[in-house]
Amino acid sequence: MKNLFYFLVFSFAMFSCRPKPIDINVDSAPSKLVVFSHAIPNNVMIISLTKSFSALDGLTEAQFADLLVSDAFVQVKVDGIVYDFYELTPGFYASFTSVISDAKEFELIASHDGETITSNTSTSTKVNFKTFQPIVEKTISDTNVFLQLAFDDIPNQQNYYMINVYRKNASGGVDGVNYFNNGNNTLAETILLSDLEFNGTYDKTIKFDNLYHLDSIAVTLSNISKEYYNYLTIRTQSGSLFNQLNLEPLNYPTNIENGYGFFNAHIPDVKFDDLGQY
Amino acid sequence: MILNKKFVFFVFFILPFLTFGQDLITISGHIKDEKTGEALLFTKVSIPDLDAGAITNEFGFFSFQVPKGDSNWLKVNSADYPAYKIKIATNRDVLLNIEVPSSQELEEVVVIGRKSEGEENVSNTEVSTVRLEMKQAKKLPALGGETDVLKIAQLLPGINRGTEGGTDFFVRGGDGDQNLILVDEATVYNPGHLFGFFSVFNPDVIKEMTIYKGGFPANYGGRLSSITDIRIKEGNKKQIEGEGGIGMLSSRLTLQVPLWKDKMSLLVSGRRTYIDQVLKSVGQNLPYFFYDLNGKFHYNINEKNRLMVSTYYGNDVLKYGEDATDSNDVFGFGFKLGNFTQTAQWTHIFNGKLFSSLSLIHSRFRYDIGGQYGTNNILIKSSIRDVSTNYNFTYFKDNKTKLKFGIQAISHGFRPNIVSTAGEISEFLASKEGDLLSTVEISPYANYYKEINTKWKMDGGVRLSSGITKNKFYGGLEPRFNVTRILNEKSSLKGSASRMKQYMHRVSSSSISLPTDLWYPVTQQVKPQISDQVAAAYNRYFPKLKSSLVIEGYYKYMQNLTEYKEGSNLILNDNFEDLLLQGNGWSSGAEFLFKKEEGKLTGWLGYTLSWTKRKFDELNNGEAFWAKYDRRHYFTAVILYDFAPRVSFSAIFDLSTGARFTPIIGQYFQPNAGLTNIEIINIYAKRNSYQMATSHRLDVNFVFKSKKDKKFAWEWHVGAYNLYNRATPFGIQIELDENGKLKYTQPGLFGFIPSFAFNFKF
Repeated sequence: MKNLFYFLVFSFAMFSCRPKPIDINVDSAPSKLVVFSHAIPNNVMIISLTKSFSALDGLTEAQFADLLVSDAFVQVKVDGIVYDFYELTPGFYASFTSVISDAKEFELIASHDGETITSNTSTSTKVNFKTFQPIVEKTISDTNVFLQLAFDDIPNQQNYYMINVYRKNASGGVDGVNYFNNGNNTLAETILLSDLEFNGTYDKTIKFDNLYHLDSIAVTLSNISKEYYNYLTIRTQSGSLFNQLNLEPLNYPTNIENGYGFFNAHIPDVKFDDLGQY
Repeated sequence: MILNKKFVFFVFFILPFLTFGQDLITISGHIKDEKTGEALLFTKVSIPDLDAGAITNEFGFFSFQVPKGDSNWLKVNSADYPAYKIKIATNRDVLLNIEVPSSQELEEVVVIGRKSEGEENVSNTEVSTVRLEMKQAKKLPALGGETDVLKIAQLLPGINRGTEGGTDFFVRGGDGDQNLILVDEATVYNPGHLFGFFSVFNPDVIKEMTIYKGGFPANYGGRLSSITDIRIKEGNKKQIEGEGGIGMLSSRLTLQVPLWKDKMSLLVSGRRTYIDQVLKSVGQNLPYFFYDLNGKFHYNINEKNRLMVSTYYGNDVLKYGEDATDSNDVFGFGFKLGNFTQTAQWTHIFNGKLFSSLSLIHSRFRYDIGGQYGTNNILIKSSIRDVSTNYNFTYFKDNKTKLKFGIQAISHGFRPNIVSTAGEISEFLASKEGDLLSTVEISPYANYYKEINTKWKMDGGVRLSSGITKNKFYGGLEPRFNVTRILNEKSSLKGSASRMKQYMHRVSSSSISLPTDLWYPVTQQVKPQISDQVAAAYNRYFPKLKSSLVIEGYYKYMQNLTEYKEGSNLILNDNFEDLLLQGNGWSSGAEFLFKKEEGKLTGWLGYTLSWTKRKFDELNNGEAFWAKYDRRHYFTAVILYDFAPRVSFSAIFDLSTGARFTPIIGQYFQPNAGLTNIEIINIYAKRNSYQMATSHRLDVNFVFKSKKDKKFAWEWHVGAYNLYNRATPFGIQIELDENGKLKYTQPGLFGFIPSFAFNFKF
């Protein structure tokens, strides 16, 4: 019986083979313009323009550079006034004047190589922190970092908020000008809120496991549109690799006509601090 | 008005059953195998001289009436048995216990169904129903030599397979969770081992398997698309009998023991895989195995009462890094998942015309998944537990009228995602007790069978189903109706209409279904799924060819189907109600089944042409889209050929349009919410807008048998799965081509796999 068993095992091992995969032709989506916009200090708006690409493009550095759109025509109309945007570097366009302010309507038009995209967005009223208080709690075995954050909700309307917490552990503190730039600071956490989650005033003390007690930190608070809130909620829920492997197929919402990405405008309130002093 | 309704009800439904013929007698009883005492199901019993007869039911019981006389020859016709007749007295009501001698010579007769199935199908009222017989099924090629009844069922028209190797199947455009699988009336929630590559059903213990794709009798309900009713052998009441097999992946042994001759029997069966050992021999470490245990106790208390207790217990077990407990840097992972069912059943004959069965049933499916790394531990448990009772009656009014009625009640207890964590991991994933979700389903039903005249037969019924959950009651009528118009002795037309309701659903990702997918009940927000199906069939029997042809067309409309919001993550997510979407679907198609039932060459050809769509307001921009397993064409050929009395050959060929999928067709860059990082965003095509390649596969098998009349009978099975090593796509991937460029490819799971198995019987 034992011999019979080994004979069966041997046969299985010797003869089993994996079939050759079959090629399949999947059409790539046509390349389109991709938009993202953000504010930098002084309420200047920067718009990034890139191009989408095929999933079969194994991007080299040169190909990556080709995705940054140069020589595009970019205009933003704010309450009837047209602002021309100028190319800073390939793929990045700015207005050179303060474009962003409270409660304005924005209309984007951009074109490149015969391709034109349009989009609309608006800014919500800026909201400032009422309380911003880091708390460092030292115990024998551990040190915990808390932030007490409070602000007043704008009454009589539906509001959505985004709080970003940045950290920098190198000397020199947080880069207060380019606090969003990759490589300078690290995003510790993003909190997205709907005012349905609290009543009138948001006031919470939150423990941040990924802040170190010697970090320099920057915390921003933005009143964002409902569309952008929905977009970011989906992004943060599905962002991790683990989630991407498990989630249902999803095309992210976009407010760009004939393109991808998201055109938004919001004015953040920014607080800086050094946790080392607590 | 109310009085009038009551009067009509009395006249048409009650009165017919109270008016008994004065000079008729009732012939009733059980038909059994002489060698084993095993009841013979769906067997024709008749007195040809009086042109009267009946078919045994699922318990081997029959009843019919004849004019009072002296004596007559009673004939029994069954596929595996020579024609048998016995002279019986017909001067008074008789309750018979007939034992039919079996024949060793008749093994080759049919592939599925009985010898006379094609002929019977012409005249009965069954529509969209198939019976599978194990003796023939066990001769067919099988992956690793493991006969898998669910895989064989997927070779029939109207039943599409899912991914290669998986046991999930899709009936007439339905979803994978719309198929009810019953073993001795107990629900089996997870019919697959090894993530679905093998079914949990040990072929040696299965006596009968019936699949309903439509035309559902009213005593079945709870799922939209199919009912698979599996009956386990009772056990030999005459002598000890053993049966088993040694295959490449598992071995099995079944013993049937008469505890009290002709009265009481016990069947015990076990199966265990040694995949772990097989893989170890080729240098792979997969500490995985599965096992099944079946048991059945059967007791003929007296000629009117029978008692049966049946149980199934099976598990899949993985233990990786078992000894990692004391180590800080060793990874450990494991799971255990399986079904456990019990059925206690009492059948009682009130008199020759009234038969009943009362069943108490328990069914449980659970899984435990655990992992550890150093001092971090996690254990996730989920389970579903049913306690149910069925009380069924069959009243045989006369040879042309039969009423089946009863009530079924099920209490479901769902306990998903109980999480227990320890160590640092508990800071990210807190321990929690999963909420116990409960529902109760209560369904009285009645089914009325009537032979209107020699040309017309009907079988109509209604099921009053209900699903009761927290603060919500769902219910409604499920009408069922089958009709047969006999054109002549060789052909008939049939039609059916049926409504089905489903009060629970399985949460599965659109890309893959796993045994760990959770079942959830209806809630206040989640409504029951409903299907309405109509089917029409043409049945033709060819006596010279001993063959039959069935052509069926169907249309099925489904409401409140479930899908999940785009971007949903279903892992450990209890908040399923917020993620769940409900929409509609429809399916239509034509099915062709040509069966050769006798002779040296037997088998069948099946073909399905079908279309299946879904429409959800929140998916695919509200546009209708193809269902994932919308396969336009599905062709199967199953051939068995007996070269010689001791050598037979079988082959399976299937060709199928590929399943649909939603590929990533582009990408772009976007910064994260804090603008500190750039992420790649995928662009998906329209939902299920692409199809995988058409797949086809040929499996072959030779059987060499011992000489007849040996006390220890044996069979060698030598075969091959996927003879020409063609991939059956189960997904897509991106890989480099020979020029160093990326391309999409569709990998297959199993290539050419030889199989050897040794089966024995004593």
